[in-house]
Amino acid sequence: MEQLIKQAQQGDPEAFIELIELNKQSMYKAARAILRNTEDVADAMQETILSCFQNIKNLKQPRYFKTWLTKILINKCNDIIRKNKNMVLVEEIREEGYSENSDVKISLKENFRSLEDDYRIILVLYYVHGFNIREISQILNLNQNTVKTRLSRGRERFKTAYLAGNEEGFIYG
Amino acid sequence: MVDDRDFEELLCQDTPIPWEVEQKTQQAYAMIRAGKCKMKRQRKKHQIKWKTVCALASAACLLLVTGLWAGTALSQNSDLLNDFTTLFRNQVRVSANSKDPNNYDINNTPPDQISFGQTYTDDNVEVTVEDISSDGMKLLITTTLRVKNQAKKEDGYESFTRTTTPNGPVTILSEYVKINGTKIGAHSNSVYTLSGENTYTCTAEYSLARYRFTSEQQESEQIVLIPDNKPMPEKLEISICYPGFTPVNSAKNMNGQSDTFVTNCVFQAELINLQEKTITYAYGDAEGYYIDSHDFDDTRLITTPDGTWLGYHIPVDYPEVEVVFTSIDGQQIPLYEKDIVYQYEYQGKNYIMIEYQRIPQEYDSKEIMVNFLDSNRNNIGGFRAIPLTQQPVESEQSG
Repeated sequence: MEQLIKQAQQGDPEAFIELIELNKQSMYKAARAILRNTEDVADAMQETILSCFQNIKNLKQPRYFKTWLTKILINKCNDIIRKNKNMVLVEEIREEGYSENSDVKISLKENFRSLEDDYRIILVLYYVHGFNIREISQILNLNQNTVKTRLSRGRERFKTAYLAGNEEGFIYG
Repeated sequence: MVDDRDFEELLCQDTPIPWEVEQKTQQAYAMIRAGKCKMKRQRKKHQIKWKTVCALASAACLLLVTGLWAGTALSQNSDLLNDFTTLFRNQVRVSANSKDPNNYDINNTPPDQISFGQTYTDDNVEVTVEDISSDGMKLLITTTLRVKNQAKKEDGYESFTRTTTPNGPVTILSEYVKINGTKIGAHSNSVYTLSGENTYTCTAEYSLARYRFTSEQQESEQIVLIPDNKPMPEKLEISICYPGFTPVNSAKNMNGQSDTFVTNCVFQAELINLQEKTITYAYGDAEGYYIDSHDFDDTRLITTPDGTWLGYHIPVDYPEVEVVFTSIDGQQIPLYEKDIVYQYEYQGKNYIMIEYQRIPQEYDSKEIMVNFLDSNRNNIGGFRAIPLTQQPVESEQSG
C-alpha cells in the first residue's frame, strides 16, 4: 500500500483510486457507524475521497494514510451531522427486514446499530479497521482510557442488548 | 456469549455497499480522472526560530500597548501570567446605550451604564456604580441606574441594577468613564447635561484576555473576543485565548459558508489567506514554533511535525486543571459525560482537550463560558464560546 500512496502523492489518479477501493469497505462501515442515512454516507464518502485526493501531498508519512483517511472521513461525517442537526433523522434500522428475518446475523446487526454512536464507531474502528487503542484515540481525539472504556462498555452494551433480544426469542448459534 | 470473534464475524464481513454510495464514489473517481479535482500543491512548512517569534510578538505588542497601558503594576496576577502580560496589554471596554431617559423602558433598554464608585446625574438620569471588585481573577461590576420618571415613582426616580461579570483573570490597569465620547473627571458630584440618546462608557485597561463588552442597541450586552488589529470576522465560532501559554491556534469552517477564523494571540497577523481558504496556524513548544497551514476542511487536523494529530488542544501549565462550563448568566452546565475534557501530557507538557460537541445540545445555540480552575478552584482563565448562529456586535465606542 505504501507504494500506492507514494504514487498517489506524485499525482497518479489510478493509484489513488486503487487505494480508496482497498479501503472502501471499511470507510463505508465507519461512515455507517456514524450516519444513519445512506445518502449522507454517500456524501461523506465522496467528500472524503475528493478532499483526500486534493491533500494527499500534504500527508507527511505514508504509514499514517489509513488513520488520516479515517480521520477526514469522521470529520466529514461530523460536519454532516452538524448540518443536519435540525432535521429529524429517520431511523433506517429496520430497512433490512427487521422481524421477518430471524437470521442471527441480522439480529446482531440490529443490536449493533441500536448501540449509541460513541460505542458503535469505536467498535468499527477497532474490529473492522484494526486500529489499536492509541490510533483510535488519535482519530477520535479521545483519551486512550476513554477509548478503552468505551470499547469495553460497547461490548457490554451489545452483549446486554443481544441477551435481551435472545430472551425474546432470538437464537444465537 | 458474545465475544471478540462474534464482533469480528459481525463487523468484518463484507457489507454490500448501497448503490447511492457506490454512485457517489464513482462520481468522485470520475472527477479525479477528469482532472476536475486537482491536487493542491504541497504547502511549505516553515520553522520560525524562537528569537524571531519573540521579535515579531514584541513588535506586535508595542502596537497594542500604545495608548492603552497605564503602567499599573500587575500585582494581582500570578507569576504564570507575567510572561504574557509583558507581551500584551488588552482592554476591556464596557459601553452602554440609553435611550432618552424620559422614555426609558427597562424591558427594552438595559441599564448598562457604568462608572466606578461615582454618581453622575443630570435632570433626568443618575448613574451610580455600586461596586466594582476584582480578586485578581474576576471582575465584578454592579451598577445602578436611576432614571427620572415622575409617573412611576414617588421620588421621581426609577432604579435598576445590573451586574456585569466579565470572565477571565483580570487586573485593572486604569479606568475612566466617558459620556457621549467625552472623558469625564472623577468627581463624585459632576453634573452633565444629557439629551436624546446617550452613551455611557467605562473603559478599563486590564492585562489579560482581550474582551470587548458592548451593548447592541436594546439588546443585552454581548461579549466578543476580537483581535485588535483584525477586522471583525463575519462569524466567530469558538475563540480560544488562553494567555501565558504556548499558543495553539485553531480554526474551523464548520459549514463552509463563512471564512471563520479563530486565532490565539501571538500569530494573529497576516496568517490567513481567505482567498485560498487556507488557515495558517502556529503551534510549538519551548524549542520553537512551527508555522503550518491547512485547508479549512482539514483544520481540525492539527498535527505535530511527526504527523501525530493533536486536535483541539490547549496547553496549560498546571498538572491539574478543572474545567467548568457555565452559561452566560453563570449557571453551571451539567455535563452528561465526565470525559468531555481530557487532560494529558504530551512531550513533557500538560494539555487539556475539550470535546465541544459533547456540551449538552440545549446549549448549541447559546454562548457559554469555559472556565479553567486551578487546584484551589481559583479561576485561572477561560474563554467564551460563541455559536455560529450568533453575530458578534460592533462596539459603538472606541474606548
